[in-house]
Amino acid sequence: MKRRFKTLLRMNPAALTFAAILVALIAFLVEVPILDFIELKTYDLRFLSRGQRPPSPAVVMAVIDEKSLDAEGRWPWPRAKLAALVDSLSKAGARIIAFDIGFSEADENSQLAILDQVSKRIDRSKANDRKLAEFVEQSRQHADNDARLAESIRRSSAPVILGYFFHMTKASLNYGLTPDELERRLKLLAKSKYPAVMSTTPNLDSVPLIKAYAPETNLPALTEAAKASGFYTLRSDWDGVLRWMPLVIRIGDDLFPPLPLLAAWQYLDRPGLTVRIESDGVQGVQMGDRFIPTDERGQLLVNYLGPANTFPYVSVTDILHGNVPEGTFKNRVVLVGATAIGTHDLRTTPFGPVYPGLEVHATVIDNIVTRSFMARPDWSKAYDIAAIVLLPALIGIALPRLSPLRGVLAFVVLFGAYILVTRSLFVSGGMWLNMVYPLSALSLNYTALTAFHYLTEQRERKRIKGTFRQYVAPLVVEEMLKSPGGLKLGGEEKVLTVLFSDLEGFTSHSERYTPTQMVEMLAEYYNHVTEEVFKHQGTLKEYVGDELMAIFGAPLEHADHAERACAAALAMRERRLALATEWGPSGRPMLHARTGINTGPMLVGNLGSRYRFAYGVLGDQVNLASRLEGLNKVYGTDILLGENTARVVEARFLLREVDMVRVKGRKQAVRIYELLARTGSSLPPELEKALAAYGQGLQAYRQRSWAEALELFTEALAIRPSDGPSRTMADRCEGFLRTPCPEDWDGVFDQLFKG
Amino acid sequence: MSDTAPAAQFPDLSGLRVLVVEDDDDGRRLLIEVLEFAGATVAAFSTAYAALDELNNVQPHVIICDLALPRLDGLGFLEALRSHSDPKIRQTPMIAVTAYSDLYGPKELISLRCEGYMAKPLSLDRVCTAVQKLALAS
Repeated sequence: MKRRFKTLLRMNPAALTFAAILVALIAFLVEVPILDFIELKTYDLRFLSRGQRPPSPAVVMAVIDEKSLDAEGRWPWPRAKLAALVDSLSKAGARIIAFDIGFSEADENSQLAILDQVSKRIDRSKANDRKLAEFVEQSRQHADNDARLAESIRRSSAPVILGYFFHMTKASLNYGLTPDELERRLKLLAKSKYPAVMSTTPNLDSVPLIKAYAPETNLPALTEAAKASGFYTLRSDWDGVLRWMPLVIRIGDDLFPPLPLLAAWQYLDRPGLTVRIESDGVQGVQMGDRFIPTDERGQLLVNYLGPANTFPYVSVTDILHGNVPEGTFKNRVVLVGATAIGTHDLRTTPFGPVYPGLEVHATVIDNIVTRSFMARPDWSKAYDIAAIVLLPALIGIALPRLSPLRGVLAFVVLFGAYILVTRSLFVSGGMWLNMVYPLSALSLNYTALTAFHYLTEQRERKRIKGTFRQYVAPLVVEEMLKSPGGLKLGGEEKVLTVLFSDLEGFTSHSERYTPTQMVEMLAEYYNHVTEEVFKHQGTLKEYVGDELMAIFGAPLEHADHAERACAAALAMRERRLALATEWGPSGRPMLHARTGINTGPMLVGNLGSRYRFAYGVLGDQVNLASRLEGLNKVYGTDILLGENTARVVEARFLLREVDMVRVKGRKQAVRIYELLARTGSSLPPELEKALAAYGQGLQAYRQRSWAEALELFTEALAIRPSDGPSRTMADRCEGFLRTPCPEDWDGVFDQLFKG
Repeated sequence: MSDTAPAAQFPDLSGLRVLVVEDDDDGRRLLIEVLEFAGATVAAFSTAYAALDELNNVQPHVIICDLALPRLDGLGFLEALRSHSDPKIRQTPMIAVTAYSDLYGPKELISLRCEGYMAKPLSLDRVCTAVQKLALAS
């Protein structure tokens, strides 16, 4: 597991993108059920988002609806009623009458049954009543509703097309038909086959046509009376939604067309009708100059116009009773069928779950007449694959170059744009192009790249934080971590001595001197003091305005860097005083400098980098040196040392312990020392006396003996009036005498403001 | 080192425009990053010529310039800056940055009125402190 994790981290965005595309392509080719299911739903949603479209006037539905059942009695009706319907429609000028109703069994008519019984009784009674026999026979003919319907169909001025359905397999029929019966049925459909097939492949078996076992044909008398018969078999997708209408069903070598296609064909005055087949499957149906595109199995995507009742419809009972406005059926295809709930012909379509099968047929007729087809174009597979490759590739290229927020934005824009493109191709081009696989590929790659980025970033973050937290302001580290690609960090910790020196109040002279004079003075001063830095093998690290910083011990290593720093500081003071003497006569100002020195572990740069960049501050000990420089102001001293430096140099330099201080930004208190001179050099006698008094005073001060301490500090001041530390401490003792210090006072002076 | 509280001390450079001239990509990026983090607006260039062309547009408060630059080096840039036609730009404080502290002494820099000097490796918070200090002084 751990090793696999490492392998993942060794991957790069390009490899991940490649893998994501590969996974998506494989999924596309093996057809993952859940993705296919979602694709079907997006197809349905495309219909909903396109919205309703008005139907052409070609089709009107004569529906056996709830109203008709209430008025005419329960279905199925005696066929005499349907005969009357055909008569009415024919009279009303219908162009074509198409039945989405099967008439495969003889009409179950109670009158005929009674007549049969009467006739048998007469036979048995051997009563030879000719008149009675004739009456019975006449009544029988009158009661034969099937014959009446056949007659109406034959007489109709509008061609009548009957519907039938197929048993798709032997199993669905539950029993086998004799070859004779099958042949009888197929013979009935002889005039209802496709008249022509244009095939580039000689063998129909290589074409994935939908094959049926047997047709459930109508009564021969009716079939013969009708113009043609078309199947009304509908097949839903595996998710229960009806999206396709089979245009070709095969039995043996015969190909049969469906009811709506025949109705449209009749409506368009029967132009040439050909099924076009190529080696990879059915291409479509050519009807005159109309080409109806199908999938390789010969199915047409039903281009639904809207939800149920988008097409105009009239209740059959209203037609039977003449309650229909004139011209309702004139020159139109009248589709007769049942839509009442009890008739079980309700389908689920993209527009909703309650959609009459009858209206599916109406839709197909409309699609053919108006040539508004929905299809997957020949190139759709190539398009799908291109999109599956392109979308993740684009995000794979874009993501590493963008900030996380812009990355999300790019992803959302690509996602949305692809949806808009496929939707607009659907709405205005009638094309079904795959939406789910390209979008899944895009999402997969986006997720993978984001996770990858997150993991590698976490690892890098941890590494950088671990090394540099000690030296670098946490916020700066955070900021650096945000940078793309991360920064190449590295560095070395060394014990060094750092020196800060500041010309006190130099800028305040700028009112009296011209900028050029100021620059000249500063240049001369810097020239002298940096010479001393170099002489003691220090490195001038920086100067800003009147402050300079030097380090001792790097890059050249010296074990005695603390001593060198102190020696340099004393020499710098000498040079400054010499300069003051030199400048005095020319009216230049007396320069005062404050110096802070501290020793400790510090980060010295980046050894790996060509340009020697250090990515952070030098460290806490450097800050302390800078604070010491500022503290000179508090104690009226020239040079202050930190405890670390003092401990190293106390054998070679004369120091005075000044105080214990907690500088701003540090919790730990530190002892601070004044650097006076090299050991062995003679101090002025009054200074030596003052130092002794100061030392005793400091002891008393730390024991909270304010009065005693004040006395000693005052004594030191009396000996040496210019002694800064004594003045500071005396003032502080007076303060404590006036307002007692807190209970938990630990003898440490808190520096509240940066010096 | 848990006793430091550097976040509170980090200099605030809000409202300051800083012009950076640095030919090393990492170094330039780093300076941009830290200065922007501190709140400054940064215009960064990899050559002195490009920076000189843009001086009028940027009107920086402070300039940070590497000394070892290709073609026109930092000293050349400094000279051009100090003889700029616009007196306001001529006065812009500059911090010279170099990895070769032994090649560039402070004397000539100061006589060319270079207010700041920093030897690499740079410490980033000190860069920000220096910018703040010089911006306040000018």
